[in-house]
Amino acid sequence: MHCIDTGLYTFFVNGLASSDNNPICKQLHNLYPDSISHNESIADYQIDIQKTSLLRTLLRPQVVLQVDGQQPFNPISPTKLIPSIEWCMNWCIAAYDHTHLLIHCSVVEKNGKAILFPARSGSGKSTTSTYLGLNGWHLYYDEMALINLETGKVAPVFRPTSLKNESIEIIRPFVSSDSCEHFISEVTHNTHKGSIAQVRTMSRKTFDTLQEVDVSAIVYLNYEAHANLDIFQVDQAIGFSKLIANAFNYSVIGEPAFHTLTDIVGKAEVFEVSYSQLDALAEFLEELVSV
Amino acid sequence: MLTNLIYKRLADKSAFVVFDKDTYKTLVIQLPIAFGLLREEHPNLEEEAFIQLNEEAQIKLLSALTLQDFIE
Repeated sequence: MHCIDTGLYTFFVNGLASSDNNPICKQLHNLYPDSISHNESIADYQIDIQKTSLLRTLLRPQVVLQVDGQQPFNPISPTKLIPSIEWCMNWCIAAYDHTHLLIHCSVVEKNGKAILFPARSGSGKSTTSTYLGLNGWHLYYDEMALINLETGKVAPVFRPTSLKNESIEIIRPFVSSDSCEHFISEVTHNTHKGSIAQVRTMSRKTFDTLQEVDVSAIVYLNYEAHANLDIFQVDQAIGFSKLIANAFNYSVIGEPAFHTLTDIVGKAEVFEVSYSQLDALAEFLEELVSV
Repeated sequence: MLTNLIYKRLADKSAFVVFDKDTYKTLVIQLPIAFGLLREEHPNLEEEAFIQLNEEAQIKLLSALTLQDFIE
């Protein structure tokens, strides 16, 4: 059994052979350095990897991932386990954690100030947040903002980012191969989202220095090929409406979520940005978190 | 004021947000729309005068309207 400690949550992953030459285990250890143990007795979530049938063991093997007896995803080839474990971990958090307000977005931090990138798939949020995470920012989470309902601050979690298709080769040059901070996984092809690679943008030691921080800006990204950098500051009403639409558990938490969201939006600047060049975008974002 | 509704004005004064504690439904009412609704009840209310009111006074006026007024 592998117990993955991501800071805020721990996950048991059962069913992986722990031999030294298991490529899935090697990838997991590279994605979660100093964060996997084998002798924990308590975890927040348990993911069981199970073979589907005897026939499938012999012919085109498949496995399923189960969470507390539920099977949120279709059976997959064992070669696709790494992205599937990652998606399953995201699903656990989104489905079960109602102690935080969860907003579907990427979160980056610098100078103790967080920026949220809530956006639809394909807007470039993962590419942008990974690029920033590899270039002097801290990537708090690529998938969700985890908002503390008491403080309104956003919490970090030790998770890699998932890059899709063209984004992988855009980001690969920025992954330093001689740094213990960075790691890019092997590419998993032919998933339902295309080709996927995971990128770790910091070491566990760096992660352990991070703290919950206030949200200083909410930026709605829109990647357009060859577009110039166009920045529009929009009013908080638009920011509030869109954040509710991106909140996974607003309707579960209710009133505390309403107060938390109004507080967050009240302290933040809200922008819509069209861009094609990551370095130009990063320059603008730097201004938002300057001290 | 209906006790199951919570009213807040966003910090940039662009809108009011209304939360229904029973259904968890949330409305965002942009300032011009809020003023338009209020004018139906208070024809003599001037927009500039409304904008100058503090949050508490604005919400007191708004809270006389029903949630149905906003939705319609």
